[in-house]
Amino acid sequence: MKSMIEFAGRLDQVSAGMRWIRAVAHSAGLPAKQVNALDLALEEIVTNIIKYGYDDEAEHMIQIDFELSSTHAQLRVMDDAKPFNPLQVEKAQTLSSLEDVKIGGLGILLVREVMDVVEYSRDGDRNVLVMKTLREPDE
Amino acid sequence: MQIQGVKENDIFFFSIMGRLDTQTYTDAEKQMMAWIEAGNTKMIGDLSDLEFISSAGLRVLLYAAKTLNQQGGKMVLFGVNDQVNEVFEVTGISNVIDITTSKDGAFSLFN
Repeated sequence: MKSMIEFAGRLDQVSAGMRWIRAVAHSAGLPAKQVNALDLALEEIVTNIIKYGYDDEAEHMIQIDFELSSTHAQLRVMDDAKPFNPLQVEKAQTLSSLEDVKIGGLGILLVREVMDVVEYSRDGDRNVLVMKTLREPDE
Repeated sequence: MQIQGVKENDIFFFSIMGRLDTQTYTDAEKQMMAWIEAGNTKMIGDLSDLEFISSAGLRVLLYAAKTLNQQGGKMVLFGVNDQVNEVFEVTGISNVIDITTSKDGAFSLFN
């Protein structure tokens, strides 16, 4: 099973992506935990691209495809933002005291924790991020 | 996302419903900070109908809790679902904000 969506890299477009991934993951028959993990990872990545990735005012597109195999569900996010490898970000520390709370970095931490596999590559002028959640054998 | 609150004696109860994410966190943050600026220092949050939270939503809760803490107050949350709980655990928010399973449990932390 495959599905794809493309939308403009603007914050007011993000909810379309979230509705799409929930609908697709549901119809793929994935359990709620994995639907939520895909939803969360996609929101964090797309928001990050839009907030930090663009250096100009031009219209940019974000392409996402979903693929379900017998072993895993996979999301691939492709954007033309500046090069950004979330795996090279120093892993945010889990919070230990309210006064020390540093508000940044939690989104990327979440992506790395809720997804089983995260792979980054740069393809020409595009970032390509592949995220996988593994399926239980009895699904 | 919907957010509502009511003061009962000296404790302010609020609930957040739906999705607390990039699309909705600014509305939630404005409301939370307005309640804090109005002088509420003891706050209990009912998250029973919070379906989904992302890091944008976490920031709202952390910022409110931190502000309360600096004013000698406190925030306690209860009723988290599996998705919210996972996000809380992974980020360590449960290390810095008290989370209970029931409203009574939350209430008891103020006595």
